[in-house]
Amino acid sequence: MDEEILEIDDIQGNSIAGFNKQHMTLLSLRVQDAERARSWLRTLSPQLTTARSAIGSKLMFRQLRAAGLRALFPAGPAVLNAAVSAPFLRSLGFHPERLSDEPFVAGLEARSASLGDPKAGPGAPASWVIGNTQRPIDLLLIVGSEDATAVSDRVSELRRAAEASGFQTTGIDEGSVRSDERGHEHFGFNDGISQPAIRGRNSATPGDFFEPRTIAPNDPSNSEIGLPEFASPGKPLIWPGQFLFGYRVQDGTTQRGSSSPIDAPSWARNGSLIVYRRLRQDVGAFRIFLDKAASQLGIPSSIVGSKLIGRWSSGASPVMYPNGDPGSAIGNDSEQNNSFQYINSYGPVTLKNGDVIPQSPGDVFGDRCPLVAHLRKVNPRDGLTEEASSARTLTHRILRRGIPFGPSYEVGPRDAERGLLFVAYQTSIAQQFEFLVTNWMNREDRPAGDGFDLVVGQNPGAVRTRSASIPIDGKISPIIALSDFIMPTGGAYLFSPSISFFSNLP
Amino acid sequence: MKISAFSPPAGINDFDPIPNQRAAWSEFLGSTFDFEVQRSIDEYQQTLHKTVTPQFYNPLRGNGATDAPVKQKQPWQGFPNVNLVKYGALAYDLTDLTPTNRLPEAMIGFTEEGLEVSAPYRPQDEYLEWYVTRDEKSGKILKITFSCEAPEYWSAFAQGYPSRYYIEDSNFVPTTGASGDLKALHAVYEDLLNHKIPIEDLTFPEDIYSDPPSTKDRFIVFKKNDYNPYNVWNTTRGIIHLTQPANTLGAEINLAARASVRRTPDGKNEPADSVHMICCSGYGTASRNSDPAIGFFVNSFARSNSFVTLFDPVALYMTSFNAAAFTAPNGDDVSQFFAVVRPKAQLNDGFNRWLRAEFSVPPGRGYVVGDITKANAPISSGGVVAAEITMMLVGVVDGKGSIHVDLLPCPLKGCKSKVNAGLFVQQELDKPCSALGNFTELDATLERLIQARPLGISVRRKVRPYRRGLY
Repeated sequence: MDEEILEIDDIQGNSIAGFNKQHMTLLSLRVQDAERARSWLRTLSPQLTTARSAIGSKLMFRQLRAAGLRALFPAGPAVLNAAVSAPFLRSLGFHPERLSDEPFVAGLEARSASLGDPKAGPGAPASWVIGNTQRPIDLLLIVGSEDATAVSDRVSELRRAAEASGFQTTGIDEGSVRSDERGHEHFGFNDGISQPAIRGRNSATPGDFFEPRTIAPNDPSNSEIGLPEFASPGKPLIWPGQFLFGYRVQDGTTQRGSSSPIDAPSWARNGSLIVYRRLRQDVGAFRIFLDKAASQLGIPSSIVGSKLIGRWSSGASPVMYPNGDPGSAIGNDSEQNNSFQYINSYGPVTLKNGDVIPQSPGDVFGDRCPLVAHLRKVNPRDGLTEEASSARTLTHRILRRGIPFGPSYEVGPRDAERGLLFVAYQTSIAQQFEFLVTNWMNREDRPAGDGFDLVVGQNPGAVRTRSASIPIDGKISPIIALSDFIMPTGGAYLFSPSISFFSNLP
Repeated sequence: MKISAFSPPAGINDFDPIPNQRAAWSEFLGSTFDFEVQRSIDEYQQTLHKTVTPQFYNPLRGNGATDAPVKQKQPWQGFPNVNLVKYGALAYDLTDLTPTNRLPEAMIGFTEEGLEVSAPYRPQDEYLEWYVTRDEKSGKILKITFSCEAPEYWSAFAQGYPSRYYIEDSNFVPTTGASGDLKALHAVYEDLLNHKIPIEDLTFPEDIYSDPPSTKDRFIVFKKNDYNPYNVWNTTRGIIHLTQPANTLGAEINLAARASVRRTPDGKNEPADSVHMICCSGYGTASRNSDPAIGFFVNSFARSNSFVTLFDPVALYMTSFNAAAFTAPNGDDVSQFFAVVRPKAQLNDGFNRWLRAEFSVPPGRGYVVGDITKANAPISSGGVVAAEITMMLVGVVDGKGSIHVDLLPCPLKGCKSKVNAGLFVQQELDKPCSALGNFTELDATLERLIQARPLGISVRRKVRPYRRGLY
């Protein structure tokens, strides 16, 4: 099956391309007058940043970075995307049920309990700072730029215009890449490394693929029986319908095969479903926990952290580098930091530019990256799961577009609020985001191993204590987390439509 | 690793008062392991023309390894994936055929004069089966009973050793003198089902043969008065243990043994995923959750050049229930409604092993199971609850890096089903994938039902639990 041409002038930029800006603000609005809102949304359409524009920007950034000229990357005008809630969609005359995703229709607040969120206290929906009944998100505007002032200016402008059209502002969350450790989330780990590669073309021109293919043609690493095709080392190609309505999806049976698009209405084409979770991170508690566990196990806390996350702080994989963090030269190298599987050895991989990424061994027993590590829980790659086939694992992948908020624990006030504005794109919240949370992160025995995802998972039971068993020097060691280090404090399930959806609003 | 005896599943103690019964169980399992090991030795001999020590071994015999064994569990989801792939959300209802008498049937043998004997079974093939009790008036579900107990255990419980139907090794000669205790088994039946049961309901009224009279070497697979695994109290009127023909302990051991043989489809690389592996080796059903998972789990251990076997007590277990998927009408904690009935106590070795469990709401709460919701929809089938049960078995590895065996070729290949794009099936190497298309018996049964029974319309097909028909 030939890869489809993606309509990148009609697809919003943050979905399949990703803004990847230094600053990103989420402006949450409540609709009060659907008719005035409808008129304003029509005017918004030409202002929305397209996937083509986002790709161009990313390409320029990569080229300047590669040339050591990163500082020359222009801030440019702030980018903008928009998404709507199920109730708002309904008030605009569309049936959200036709997207065949029950969680989207119910909304995040209603689904919070089933995600394992606390039922009382600051993590319970009643206490959320955004996205609950008191502060709903009917329209979410995503504004990004390399320049913080450009973002705040654009947000102010949008807010004024929206409020003039009857919207009420219910929240403003300002996210910024950490200035002290670029790319790292607040616990200290390089984040957002492992993203699926989207199959598809920008045009009918041969070789004009949406996702750069960096592996040399006919490299043996891409002809392994039972592994996906990779765009770059360890980055599997996935059919676009997993993330965009209107395109072919993974068939769930084979690694490379596709099935017909999800049955969705024409107005959904080029759109995606968004999960927005405002996650507060308790860095102090996490550090204390790591230190205690390190003392219990007799190993440095950096190793405990890498075992629980599944990556070294730099982003390098312990599957490839079991003896210590090789540093950011590897951790930031997108050709090297993802080049591994868990069951099978992988590579060596020869790139188009002639570089050879060395072979990485398998890690069947989790000696290097435990079966319960966050990474291995949410993306078991070629590993076994309770669904048996790793082809099905590919159907649960999501596109992550999150950004930290709040000051760094290292440089800012330690008691300040900080966390992650988690944003993910998919076409089935039930089978993608919620599957990962409820079936894998929050469960002790799925997809494999013995324990919760201690870092991000929640124990949905009456007692929230979580435990996990990790192998250290061939011996299984249990670790117990008495408290949650991450607390949900808001968010929403939204539909990110195509750009023409807004201009075509009846 | 070497053990002195196999234990009954989950260490359960039904056998303790019966003379020599534990020893008989261990002897039966040991013979099954030996049979499977020999099968591998024979294949290596035939293919490589030399004697090879297989990586799979009988733990009663040990393997001489001195390193600490690594024990690891492999989970799988309890609801049949084959049905889910074929029928989507409709599968939950279609798979949930009890307590009506619409069970499919499997041929289990022949009467002395050659009449074919069929037996009913539940079309639930992930080593987990269930029985649904509904309110007669409202149709709402009152109780769902789950079991993952193997039929061999109950057959041995009744008569010392499982019937020949479950014993692959035709040369197996029992030595312990154990004779089981049908009366004790009967008492357990009455206790678990909370019902008076005529003991004669539990046995075969005549001998059942492997083949029709014209076959020279036919033998008796179930003797007259042997325990009948397909009796009404384990099929149409209740559940005690597994009935689906593939849901046996023998199948588990066979699968593990065959999956421990390392193979290559191209003379160089080993299959990188569970489905290609199972299609290459030909063990089990490729589109289940269980068989590919168990097989690739064992095979991935074997790839570490280690010895591999199943950890005692050898069985297939339920290991967890995800109560968080459900919401009770008044917000009650749903986990309290899921009760493990067998065994009464766990072995405390780090693994949860459940054999039998019940999901029901105690009287006086003002609601029943059918009022509890999952994803905002009331529970309308046992299958939606089965999907939240995790099954597991435990594998054990030692002698890491010490055993190097040549790769064998694949006897089969995998084909994507033309009937259903979500299914992957095995095909003989020399036959084209285009020749595929037949449904399995289970598929055919479901196919008939889906054709005969549009949504919401029930078809009652009279099937006696034990039926004789013309051969």
